[in-house]
Amino acid sequence: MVDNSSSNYQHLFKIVLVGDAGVGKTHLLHRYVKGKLPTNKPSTIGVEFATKNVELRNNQGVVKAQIWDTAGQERYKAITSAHYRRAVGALVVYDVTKEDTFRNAQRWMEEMRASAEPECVICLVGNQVDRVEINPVLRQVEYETAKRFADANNMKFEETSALTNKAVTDVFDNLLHYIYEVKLAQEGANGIDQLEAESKKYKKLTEFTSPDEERKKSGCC
Amino acid sequence: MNTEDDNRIPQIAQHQESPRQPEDVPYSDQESQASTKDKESTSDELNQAAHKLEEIKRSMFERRVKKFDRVLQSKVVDLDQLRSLAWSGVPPHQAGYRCKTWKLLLDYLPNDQEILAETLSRKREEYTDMVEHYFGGISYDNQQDLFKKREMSPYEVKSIKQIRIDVYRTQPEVKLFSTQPIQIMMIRILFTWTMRHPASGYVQGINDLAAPLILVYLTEFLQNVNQDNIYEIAEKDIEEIIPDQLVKIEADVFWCLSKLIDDVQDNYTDMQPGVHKIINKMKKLIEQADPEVLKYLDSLDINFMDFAYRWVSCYLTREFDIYQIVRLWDTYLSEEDGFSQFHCYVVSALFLQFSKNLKEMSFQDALLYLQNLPTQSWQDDDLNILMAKSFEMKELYHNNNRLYQ
Ligand SMILES: Nc1nc2c(ncn2[C@@H]2O[C@H](COP(=O)(O)OP(=O)(O)OP(=O)(O)O)[C@@H](O)[C@H]2O)c(=O)[nH]1
Ligand SMILES: [Mg+2]
Repeated sequence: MVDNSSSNYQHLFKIVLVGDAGVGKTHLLHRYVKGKLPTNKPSTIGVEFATKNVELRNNQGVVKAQIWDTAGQERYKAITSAHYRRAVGALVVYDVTKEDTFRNAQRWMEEMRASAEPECVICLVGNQVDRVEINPVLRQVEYETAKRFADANNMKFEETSALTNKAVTDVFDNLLHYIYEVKLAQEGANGIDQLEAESKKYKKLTEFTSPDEERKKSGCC
Repeated sequence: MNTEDDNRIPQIAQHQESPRQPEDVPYSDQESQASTKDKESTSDELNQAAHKLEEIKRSMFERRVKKFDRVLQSKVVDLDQLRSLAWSGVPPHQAGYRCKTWKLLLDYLPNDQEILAETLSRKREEYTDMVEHYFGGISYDNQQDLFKKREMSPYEVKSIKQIRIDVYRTQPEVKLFSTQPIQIMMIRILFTWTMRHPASGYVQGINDLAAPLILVYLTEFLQNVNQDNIYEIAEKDIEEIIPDQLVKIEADVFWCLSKLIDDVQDNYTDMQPGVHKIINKMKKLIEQADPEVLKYLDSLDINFMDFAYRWVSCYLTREFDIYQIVRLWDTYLSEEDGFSQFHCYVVSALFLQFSKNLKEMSFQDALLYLQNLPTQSWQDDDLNILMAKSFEMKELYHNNNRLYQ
């Protein structure tokens, strides 16, 4: 288990969660970060922020994921979209039992592409799959349909359930790995230095080392 | 009460002369003396003091109840008097006081008792007519059948979907809001409101404004609701209220919600200019009070929109537990422009109360802190202090503005 609060990490990735209201963005995030379902979560107003430190495979260091959960209703787009900037990863979430939330996923994706970093990795997520596992009639978006749509638009794809925890950790962890790989490939073998430098730059911008930690580092006593 | 709180009492006292000074600010001199007793006092003395304090509080409470009695039962209710009484909180557990006070202050009930009954029945009838039009009748039994009685436009379908999702997630800590009759009531109220306000339509967060109204208007008909059992009101309690009465409650909530939002309509229209206006003013107020913390947030690249948006647009319903929200709204409704103006001082005072803790924090910690203020466990005293500070800030701001003009 990686210490979540520590500032001991090598990479800092900003990730955004978008999708229609009620598809389960907040539940997915809570499940991932806290390891359990939220007990009492009302709708998201504006944006909610969370972080998690994750160890990359093959000793490639620790990533701090800064995750922004956004409000789903259209009316909030003006404030939530300000957060697409600088995002290097995004989950576009829909509800497998609601066709319209899937149709809107296209718009969410386009908006994401328009304002996020050009190399932003997007993963399409069909949530609430537990419900169709119990009652297949509820399914309104076929797996294949969504997969084809994701492939055609250069997105990863996964079906999840925040309720049963199906594929939730994978979706987030994989996204972080993809982002890392994209950065690696894009910047070449020595580009990773640059990536780290940039991460540090961003880290410096957003992180402030408390005097306490400063002291620990210098190891005075 | 801790010593820091006690420090504020003299400040509150400074405002005794102000014309809108709320009566009976719940911090008396006796109280402050009692709680700052010397450490050397024997425990006996302390006990005595505590006992005396209790007595004083009780007698103050009884005095307030009497005053409310007098004001609310007069033939023509003196609204100014009612405002200054209710400002520091309507006495809890007196069935009907708060309900009536809110309706009067929202200008839903006429203050003249003579025309009260007639006005009420006209308004309630008007509402049931609207409901008849949209839903083909009113019942509290079956949620699925709510919209089955007529063809819906795509806009209506979209609004219903959004309202439903949100109603199921309203005040999830309070059982009352997950009971079927209350959910049906809320869906109808929000949908009817939406149809009559095409400029904004339904916006997430409006459900949060309906909840305190429903709670207050409903508890008039429930026995012995208090701070401890408010979360436990269940379906069986509501079943004791006859449907006719539920319809009246529903109509009253609808009209009062409409009145409330009328004053802050531009929080909910496109681009939400109302919210931006309040946040901008909030920044100005904070700049006057504590420019350092503003600079610090800037250096962290934290934007006020990232945390204050919810405070402002949901009227703090997400930051406090429902009991405190109701208390907070006593003050909002007693202020001339509580929701449109005074609210701004409250969110600013709230920020300043916690901002001293920010100064050492990282970007991440500061943002998490601001998005999850430790206010859920607040008690009456905490809220009273916040109200006093907000009032002080308002006075200061007004005086300063006069100075500069
Ligand atoms: N069965 C099931 N229900 C879920 C799942 N995820 C979320 N829900 C339910 O769907 C509702 C909405 O979930 P939220 O996480 O609040 O949705 P959201 O996407 O954050 O919505 P907004 O904040 O309004 O944008 C809640 O009542 C959840 O209980 C899931 O995986 N399975
Ligand atoms: Mg959410």
